[in-house]
Formats: sequence, structure tokens, C-alpha cells
Amino acid sequence: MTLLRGLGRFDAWLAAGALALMLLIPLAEIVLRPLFGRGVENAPVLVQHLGLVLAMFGALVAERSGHLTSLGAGLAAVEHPHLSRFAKFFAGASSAVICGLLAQASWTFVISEMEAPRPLAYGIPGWVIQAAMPAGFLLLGLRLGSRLAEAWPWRIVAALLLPLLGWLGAAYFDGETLPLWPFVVWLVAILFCGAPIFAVLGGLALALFWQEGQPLAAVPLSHYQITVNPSLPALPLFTLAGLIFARTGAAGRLGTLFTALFGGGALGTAVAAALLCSFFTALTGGSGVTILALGGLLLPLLTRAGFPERRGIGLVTSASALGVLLAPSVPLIMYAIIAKVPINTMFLAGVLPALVMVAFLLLAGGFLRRDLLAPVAPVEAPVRLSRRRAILAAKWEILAPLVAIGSMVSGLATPMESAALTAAYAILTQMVAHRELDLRGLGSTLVDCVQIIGGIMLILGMALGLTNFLVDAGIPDLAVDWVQSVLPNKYYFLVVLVLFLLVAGALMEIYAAIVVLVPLLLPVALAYGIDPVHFGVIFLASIEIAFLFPPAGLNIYFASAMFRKPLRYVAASVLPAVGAMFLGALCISLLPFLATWLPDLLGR
Amino acid sequence: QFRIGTLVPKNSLYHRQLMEIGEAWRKAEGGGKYLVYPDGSQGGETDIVRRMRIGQLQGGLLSVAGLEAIEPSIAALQLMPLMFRSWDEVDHVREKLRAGMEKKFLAKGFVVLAWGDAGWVRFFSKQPAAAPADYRGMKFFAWGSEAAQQEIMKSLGYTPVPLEVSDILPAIQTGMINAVPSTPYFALATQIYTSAPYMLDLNWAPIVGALVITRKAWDEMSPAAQKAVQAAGVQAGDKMRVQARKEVDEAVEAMKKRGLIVTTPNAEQMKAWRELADKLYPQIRGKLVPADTFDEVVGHLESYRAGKGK
Ligand code: NA
Ligand code: NA
Repeated sequence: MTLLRGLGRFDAWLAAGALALMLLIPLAEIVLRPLFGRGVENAPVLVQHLGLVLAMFGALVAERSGHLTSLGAGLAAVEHPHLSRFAKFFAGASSAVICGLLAQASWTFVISEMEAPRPLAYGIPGWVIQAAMPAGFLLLGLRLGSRLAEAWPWRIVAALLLPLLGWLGAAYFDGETLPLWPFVVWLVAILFCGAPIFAVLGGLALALFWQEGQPLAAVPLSHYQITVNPSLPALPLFTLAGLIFARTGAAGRLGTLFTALFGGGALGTAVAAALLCSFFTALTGGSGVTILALGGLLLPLLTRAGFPERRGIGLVTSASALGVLLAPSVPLIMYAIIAKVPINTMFLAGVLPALVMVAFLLLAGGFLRRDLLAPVAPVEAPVRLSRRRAILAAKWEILAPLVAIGSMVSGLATPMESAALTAAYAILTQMVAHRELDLRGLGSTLVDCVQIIGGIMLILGMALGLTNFLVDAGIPDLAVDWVQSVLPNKYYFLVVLVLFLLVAGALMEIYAAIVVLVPLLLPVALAYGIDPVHFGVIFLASIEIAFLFPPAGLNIYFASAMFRKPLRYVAASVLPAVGAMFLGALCISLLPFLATWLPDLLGR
Repeated sequence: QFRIGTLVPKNSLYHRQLMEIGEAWRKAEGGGKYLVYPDGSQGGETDIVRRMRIGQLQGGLLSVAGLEAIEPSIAALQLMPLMFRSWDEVDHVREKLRAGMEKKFLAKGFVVLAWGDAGWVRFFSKQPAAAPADYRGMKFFAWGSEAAQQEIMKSLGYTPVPLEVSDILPAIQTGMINAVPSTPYFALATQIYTSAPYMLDLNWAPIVGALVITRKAWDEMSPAAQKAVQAAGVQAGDKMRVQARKEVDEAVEAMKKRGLIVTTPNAEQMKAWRELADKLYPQIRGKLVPADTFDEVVGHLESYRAGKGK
């Protein structure tokens, strides 16, 4: 028992330690590089691999504290005690078995790497860190299994037996061709019994490769590929910065500032929230980060202004998706590169459509309707500070986006270094300037951060496994051929394109969607006479709505983790916003001048 | 089933050659599923090698960046700057090394079907530059994963900035980097030249590639298919090499029309480059390129040049 407890803390130490190193190594690089001409050996790749350690052990921390995202408790929450107990047991046992399958598939991948070892840095071969995958999945299976019984002997039996069953199954049947439907029935059942999303997605990806007789190790390989993606370290680091601001009095200071600037009324707060969310997403490049960084600040402001909690969550979650169209968002830059359109052109092209989307969200989403507000009793008249004093009080917080964007745009730092700088800036200003964060607080913020990111990275990795199957089976190609043959008219095509992207975006991770779908769809769009810049804006506007759909719609997972609400609750709360943004995307796709006017005006 | 991953663009010459090899395989085997995944849809070059190792892919058309993950000595063909002066020299040395190299790949579990290349690496920069000293203050794009190369650059006083390929264009626009080593074809395709319009006409190093398949996939083929695929591979390799060399000239012409400024180093500057290379070789030998392969290449080049001098 003490052993298991010790193990429990061990995962938090490992994951938080990895995060701390991910923060310190880029900073050391910034300092050492100009001074000594040499910094940390292979620093970027080292930091990327620390992300894998963070992901696996952060997920373990999330499991321990009950924060692994599921679709909701489902049948495990019904009144009938036997049914509820059975559902809980069934979901837990199945997840433990799937963890065993994933552990074995990961081990196969690690073995293939051990046979051709490549040094990462300082002579450490890559497989040493890759081994975090089988170890992590195995421990996860162990943990899930041990929760199934009350009595110790049974807990140990379940903890050992279920992952072992999965392991042996994967070892024995890998490479065989197994039918898909029994898996699908099983996975749908455990989904509604409250199994964690990552287990369902991972199980589905494995089952899809299995029905083709393709190697199961393809799934952990995709998970590895996305967790060590060069732009990914920015995610936990910007998240850390956001969580630190959320933990201290920064929320209050920014709130006061907004009250001073926008009058603090319901309309002013809604407009400010929508604009701030899109702006912050553009800066950080990840809309999930915005929810984490601003959700804790904005939700209390919105509820104080009279928004019911559900609508407040809906506004923050959906507005955070909008920044994708605003410079310098990562997807915008990525589209420009893949489609071979100059980046400056894309930057200019995104501005008006982004504003159109914000307007549609606020107006058509009903966020400016007074009759839907809850009556607010002015509990205490807040001390009205002058605007100048409000700005001075919140000066460190207002400057944070400048640190993030300034270091990147000036060319001083890579995206990863800029994220590390922003996190360090948050720590220093809140610890030293405001004295609102002590070492203990910093430690627990690191742990909060790793469990949020760990849970999300696990889902992201499994989703990429699914994406890889779609690519492997050539499914996007087939879909496009079919669409082209049935749609003779350009306007039909545009409407169907938006709908198609909503579905595709819900199934795929955004960077994968850009990389896979843009090269396939752009030639089709060109054949209909659509401008590549205009196409890019339609693409990104539609894909950003897909941030709000499961299973790949990350915003919902982030919001569910941030606000501690079930996925279904969050999904329902963003529905009006989804409708409004869909109308906005249609408007953008049917009015090409919104995208092309500004670039034409200012010269390409 | 036969699946091949590569970073080459869909419908490019390289992609078409891969499809022709597939046609030969299918004809010899009397059917079967043959799939090419272009545009890096299966991941980067090292990811493609990983997917070959686990058996998800059977083959890959890769440059040295990926081939190196299988057999490090292949670096001899790409990572020794200014070692080769012309395609003839590259061809000569590759022909000499080929049998030994193919044996090494076989020992690592891979069969080489075709050898190709993709042009010379040249320097594209924001500011005009001709001599090594002109580049000293500049920040260079460097492959994120290639630590040893970066150490060498740092030791010579250059500043490598490790980035992803997709970050090159924004990085050069913001000034995070101001020089990019790139083939003209790549510079044209990615528009690097619009932000870094000065190209030094110096054949720094060739980009060499190969189509490799796993030994397992090779062994599972019928003898007739092996023969057909091998013949198709040789033919595809010839076409890829001829075309790549033509594309370099075409790419430079196309970029010149849109504002590229080509700088040709004079004799003195050329001498400085050679001196720089001579300083580099001891660091590359035994570190980036195995010492014996390095010496082998130098030996072949010396005898080739001596033979031509006669
Ligand atoms: Na990506
Ligand atoms: Na590489």
C-alpha cells in the first residue's frame, strides 16, 4: 500500500520534473548560446522527448485524481445500484485490458528502436525515453485494474490479470486479421459505461489496424510522433503560464481592468471576452491553451455580469476557437506553407473573416441578448478604479502577450523558447513582483499542468493513431474523388466543403487535417475557380468550428478539464455557438472579398 | 500488399517513378495492393523508417536524412561539403561505393532498389554574401534532429537555429534566421527565395536519395517480381537523376525571373571556401561520417581526378 502510494507520488515527480526541464532547457539555450557559442546538446529534441515523459506520467497523475476525460459517467451514474456497479466495473476492466494492448504494441515499437539505437543527446539512446510509453500504459492498466475491487487480494489480482490479458492478446494476435465489428460494439458499450476517451480511441485505432492485418505498433508510433512534435512543447509551457495567472490575483486585476474599460455590463463583458479569447488564441497558437489560461479569469467575470454558467462556458469555449484566423496563429502559418501562399498574404486575409466570425458568434449565438441573462443583484459595488490605475495594477498581466508574441515576431526566440519565456515571465512576475505565488504553489501548479496536458496528449496521440489509419487506408483520397464527382456547382461545393470540413475536423487533429486535407482539397477548389487564399480562410474557419466537436475537438476536452464539467455538459453548452459559427463560415465562404480585399489593398 | 512512404510531392516526377515501379511489381505478381504515400503523409523521413521497421510500410523513397537512420555511412554522399565538384564526381563515387553500401543496407534489413538525387545544396540569404566570412554573423536554418552538424557549425562561429522545415519561411520573414542551405528546387517550391533572395552559386553538397524496401518485403516477392522490380528501380533511378539535374537549372531560371540574385564566388572567395572545408573535414571524419567511408570517398575522388588529368 505504501509502495503504491510512493508510486503515486513518483509519477507526479517525474511528470512535473519533465515539465520543469522543458522550461529550463530552452531558457538555458537562450542564455548559453550567445555567451559560449554552445548550449545544451540537441536541446530542442531533448525537450520534445521530455514531452513524452510528461504525457505518459501526467496521464497517470490525471488517472489518480480522477481527471482522465470520459464522455461522462453514463450508465455508471444510473440509479439502479447493480447496473451502475456493473457499468463501472465493465468500463474499468475493459480500459485496463486496452492499456495492456497498448503497452504491448508500444513495447513492440520500443524493441524495433532498440535494434537500431540512435543517440538523443549526451549518448542517451532514444529508446530509453520511448520506454515511457509501454511503462506508462502498463502502470495505467495496473491502476485502472486495482480500482475494480475493494479487498486487497482482489485488487492485486485485477491489477495484474487484466493488463496481462491485453498484453498477451496483442502479442498473440498482432499481424492477424481480426473482424472489426465485435470491437466496435465493445468500444461503444464501454464508452457509454464511462470509460476514458483515450481507451476508446486507442482501442478503435488498434481494431482498425487489426482488421487490415497491419501492425499494432503503428498506433503507439503515431502517439510518439505527435508528442515529440517540435511545436508541441509550446502547449504545456503556455498552459503553465496560463495556470499561474489563473492561480494568483491576476484574474482579479484583469477583471478590474475590463470593468474599467468596458463598463462591466453584460454586453461589454461578452464582447471583451470574445475579443480577448480570439486574440489570446492567435498569440499562443492553441485554442485549448486559451481556455486554460483565460477560462478561470473570464467565467467568473461573465457570471458576475449575469451570464448563467452554462452560457458563460459556451462563450469562452467557442470564442477560444476563433483566434485560428488571426496572425500569428500556428495553423494560419501552417496553411500558408502547405498551400504555398505567402505568409503575409494569409495574415492579412485572416483579419476580416476573424472579425466576421466574432460578430456571428456574439449576434447569432445570442450572447448579446439581455433576456437570456440571469438577474444579478449588485452584491457589493466594486471599487471603481480609474482606467489608469486599473492598467497600472494589471501591467504585468497585460504585458504577458507582448512577451509571447514579441519574442517570436522579433526573431529572438523559437516558438518553444518563446513559450518557455512566457512561462518564466509568469512565474517571476507572480512570485517576485506580486508575491502571490510561493514555491509550494508553483509545485502544485506544475502538477496541475501535467495532469491536464497528460490527459490531453494521450487523447491527441490516440486520435493521431486513428488519423494514421485513415491515411493508411487512403480514405481521404476516396472521399475527395467522390465529392468531386457529385458536385457540379461551385456554390454547392462551397457549402458541402464547409460541412465536410466540420466532420473531418471533428475526426482529425488540426495539424494533421491541414497537412493531409489541404494538398487533397486545394486542387479541387482551384478547379472550381476558388482563390487559394480564400480557400485557406474557409478551411481554417471551418476547422476551427470542429474544435467544438468530439472526438478530436480539443476545446471541449480542455473546457471539461478546466471547468470540471462532464463532456456532455460542455458539448451542449457550445451548441448555439456552433450554429452561429457555421453561419459565419458559410458567409465567409460565399463572400470571397472578405478574404481577398485586404491583401489586394495592401499589395501582395 | 506494398506500401511506400516518401516526402516527395504528389504527382511529381519522383511520385510517377514510384508508381511505375509499382506497376512492374503488380504485373509480375499478377495483382496486389500497391500504395504510395507522398507529401510526408506517413510522417517525416525518420518516421517513415520507423514505420518500415514495425512493418507498416514496406518501402520508402528517402534522402540521406532518413537513410542515415538505417546506415550512418551513407552520410558520406551528402554530409561532406565541397567534397564533390560535379555530378560526374558524385556518380563516380556512388558507383564505387554502391555495392558495399547496398551490402551494408542488406545487413541492416533493407534492400536498395534505386539511387536518385535532388540537386545541390546552395546558400540562400537575406543579405548579399560571397565569402565564408560574409556569413559569419548570420543565423542559419538547421535540421532540429541533427545535433552533430550543429555542434560543428557552432565551433566555426556560425549560429545554427534548429527548426522544423515548415518553420523556415516564417523564421526568415521575422529574421529569426537569415540564411538557409537549400536546393534551388526546394527554395522555389517553398518560396524561401522571396525572403532570402541572394543565392550563392556554390555547390555545397549534393542531396542524395534512394528507394529502399525492407528485406522482409523483398524475400516475400516471387523471383520474377524481384527481377521486374529491380529492373524498374534502375530505370526509375536513371530518370530521377537526369530530371533532378535539369530541374536545378530550371528552378534557378524561374527564380531569377522573379527577383533572385545569383552571386558567383571569385577565385579568392572560392579559395576561402576550400580552406573552410579543409578545416571542417577533420571534424566530420569519424563524427558525421565513419572514418573508413570518409577515406574511401577521398581515395576514389583522388584517383578519379588523377585519371581525368591524364
Ligand atoms: Na503536425
Ligand atoms: Na531528419
